[in-house]
Amino acid sequence: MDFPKVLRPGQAGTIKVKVETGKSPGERVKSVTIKSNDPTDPSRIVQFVFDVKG
Amino acid sequence: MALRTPPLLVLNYCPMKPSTIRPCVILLALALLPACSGPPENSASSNNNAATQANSNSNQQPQAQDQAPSPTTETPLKVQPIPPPSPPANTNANIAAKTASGRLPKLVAPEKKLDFGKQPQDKTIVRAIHIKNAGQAALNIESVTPS
Repeated sequence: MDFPKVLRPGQAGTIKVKVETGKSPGERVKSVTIKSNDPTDPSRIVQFVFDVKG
Repeated sequence: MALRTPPLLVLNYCPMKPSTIRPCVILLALALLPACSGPPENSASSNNNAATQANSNSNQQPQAQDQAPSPTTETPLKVQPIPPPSPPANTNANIAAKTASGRLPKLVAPEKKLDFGKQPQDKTIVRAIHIKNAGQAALNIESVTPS
């Protein structure tokens, strides 16, 4: 995972996610957990989905 | 006449005349005045009579009882407030401190599932998840782990 360590107020950033699609076709649901010092949501889960072609 | 003479004779035999009694009474009063004006303990200690000592002792016990609560009146107890315990150094304390300052970081990340579409088999894909700090304090990202 590649992610910015610090974001200043108002600053945006990107988290680069590398995923292995695998050999079997079908839909895949993955997620990443972002832990930060956000007091309201210190552990944020982002889900993503993709479909592996047969 | 015979009955009236004995009282007259008695008055005549009085050993002290009024002119000599007055100074004696004054001297006696002056001598007793300091003893009467002094504290009762001194008068009791100076008295050697056993009965009066018993009375003085019986009088001293209530005095001791009266003196027992005197320390409360001499120096009143001062109640010192207990200092609050020091907050533990954990994330909750840091959150509370940041809340007190009014500046908080806020992570904005996609809430819905991200659709990466159709992907080929046996391949590594790289996608970007866009995030933003919408708060007023620096956002520190500690870790990003797959799950």
